[in-house]
Amino acid sequence: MAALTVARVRGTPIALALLLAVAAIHGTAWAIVMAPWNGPDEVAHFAYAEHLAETGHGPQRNGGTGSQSTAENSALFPLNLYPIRLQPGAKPNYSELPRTKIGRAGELPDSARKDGSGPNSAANYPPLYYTYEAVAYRISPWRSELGRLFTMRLFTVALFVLTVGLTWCIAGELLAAGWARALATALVALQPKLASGAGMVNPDLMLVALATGELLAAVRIVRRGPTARAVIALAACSAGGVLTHPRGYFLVPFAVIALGVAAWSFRERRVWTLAAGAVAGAAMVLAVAGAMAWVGAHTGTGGAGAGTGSPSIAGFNMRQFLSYVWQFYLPKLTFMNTKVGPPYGYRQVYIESFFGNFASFSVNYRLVYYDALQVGAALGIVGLYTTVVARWRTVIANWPVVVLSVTFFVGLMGLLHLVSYLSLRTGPDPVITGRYLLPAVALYGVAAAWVCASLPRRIGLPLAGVLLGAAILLAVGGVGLSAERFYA
Amino acid sequence: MRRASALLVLIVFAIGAVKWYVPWLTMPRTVVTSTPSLDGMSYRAEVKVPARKTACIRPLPLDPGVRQIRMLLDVTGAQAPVVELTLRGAGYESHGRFANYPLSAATIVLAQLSRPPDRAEDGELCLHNTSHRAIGLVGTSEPESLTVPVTYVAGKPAGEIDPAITFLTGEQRSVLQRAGTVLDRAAAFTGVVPGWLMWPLALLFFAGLPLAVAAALLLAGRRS
Repeated sequence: MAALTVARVRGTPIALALLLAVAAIHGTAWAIVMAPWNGPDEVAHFAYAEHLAETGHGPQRNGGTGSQSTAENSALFPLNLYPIRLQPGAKPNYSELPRTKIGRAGELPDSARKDGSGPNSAANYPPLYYTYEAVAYRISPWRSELGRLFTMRLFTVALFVLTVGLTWCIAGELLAAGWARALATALVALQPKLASGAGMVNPDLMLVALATGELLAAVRIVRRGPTARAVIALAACSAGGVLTHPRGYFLVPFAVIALGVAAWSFRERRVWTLAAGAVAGAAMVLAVAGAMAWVGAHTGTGGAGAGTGSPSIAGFNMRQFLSYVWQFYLPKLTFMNTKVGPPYGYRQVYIESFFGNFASFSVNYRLVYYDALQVGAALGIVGLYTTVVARWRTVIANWPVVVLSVTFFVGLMGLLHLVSYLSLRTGPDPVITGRYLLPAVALYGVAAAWVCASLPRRIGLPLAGVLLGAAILLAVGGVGLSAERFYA
Repeated sequence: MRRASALLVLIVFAIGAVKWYVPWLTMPRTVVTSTPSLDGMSYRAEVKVPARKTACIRPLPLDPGVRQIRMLLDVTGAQAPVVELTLRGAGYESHGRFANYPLSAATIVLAQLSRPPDRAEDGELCLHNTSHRAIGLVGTSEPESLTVPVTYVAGKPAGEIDPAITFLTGEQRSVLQRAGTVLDRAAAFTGVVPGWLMWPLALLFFAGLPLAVAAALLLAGRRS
């Protein structure tokens, strides 16, 4: 086993090794420059994992003795880390750090870490990611709250590195040119929002890793034919997604569709595929039941509404929903009513919060950079469309992969739009934000690389260089902005 | 072509760094030592200090770097009331005043301290309204923004309202000039990373990322 591992490590292409190192450095940089607990909802996610690690139980959403443990609060408030989260000009209390009881040896009793039993706003999340982070919490060689948080952040960085590795594998399946494979992978390793998510305690990155793993398994199944290993990977990622995050539910129908496409494409293996699919389906049903039971036990809802964490679907109006989706992307047509909710759409989700809006929305690029990204994204969409038209024979010949890619993205976005629409009918929160698109980040990298690789080589390769140069500028700039915001 | 493309990664990064990073890194900025009590994000609230009364706010993180105090005042009338400030810690006392400021519902006021704190410690800020009119110390009562310090007016707690306070050094310095402080603070707040390690890490990040990406493009190209 050890020899096999050594052989695999030795066999890793240098380009991949370099890009994995880039991801590790990029994610770790974010773990360092983002002030503790200043990621989105990081206070609650840490509290969940800490309570699980200390007591073996998840926190409650609506009850309990405190949203955070005494130990977490001992660092959060004296260091000013809680109130500054949403205020871009506010700073931590730097000079308080040596005098603050952050759980160093002998500073706090053991009981101070066990009393964060709720109410916790993340308690409606299933336990897989928190179990993973509870292990990090327990094995952390640094025992203060800040030290444990940092270790937990590094564990999330590992999920980012895994995602980059999986993207390399997907790109290897879909792109012929080695440089295009590197481009797709590098774009993911340098994606600033993904890396910032890696530098915090938040289940999003585990969902991203599992979604990317499922996409890889699905692509292999429809290209090479279903194998036991690939179907197990598909089912495991799907079940893992459901047990990680309410937004992971879209992975279940995607897995079913992948198996359906495989059954259609590989007729000689249809019976085997359907049988394997039935077993995989049973595993996924078990995961769904387990997730709902866990959520029900910790929210007091009996699991109702646990699927997406969404509000009630009662009163759903298809016409209003379609109008909302249209106006999310495009200007309102004369026969449409004004869409529900605030003026919030494509620019805010696909540009501003997909590439920026770091920490708890308190760190941002200048607006002109978002303008440039929007123009770049528009050119990219035109480029993708043109490539599809120009290479339609290739697209038709690879229809199973195309169906999977489109299904994956449309399924993810369909779920997000549905949840957003239902939420906006009863309140001002659009729910959907750019980091929710990150499960499809491998598709973003592969699509950009495919467009470049479809151009003449003398244009495609230099364009790749320019894209990567710009991606590094964004990546380094985001980390610098965060360092300045919190520590200058 | 592969080599040119890899070189292009570095050239684009270098040009962008010169065009955007250098001005950003060298632009002088007001140096904030701490913001122990915050302004509102969505709404403001204020603590009223009656005529000839004193409000005290504690505990506040004193730091040897503190030279100035910035707050928000709600003052009406024709003339700006003078507000006398006393900042004190164990064995330390310093004075300043808000005077000659424009009047509005949330005027930014700045006071120079007579001397900086001797050391980092918890302290207290007292504001004495010397005028015949009440003044408002503007801040917030938003639950998300409430901080540890408590305000007392004439010795009585003023409730869940925090007046906004910013401690400043009074200097204008660039991020580049303060890079050592930034890295030290970032390291300290990890609870793990030693300060000395931040310099090689920063170099690895700033130089290693573009070099590694360019090399990956070059080497992956060879496999095609």
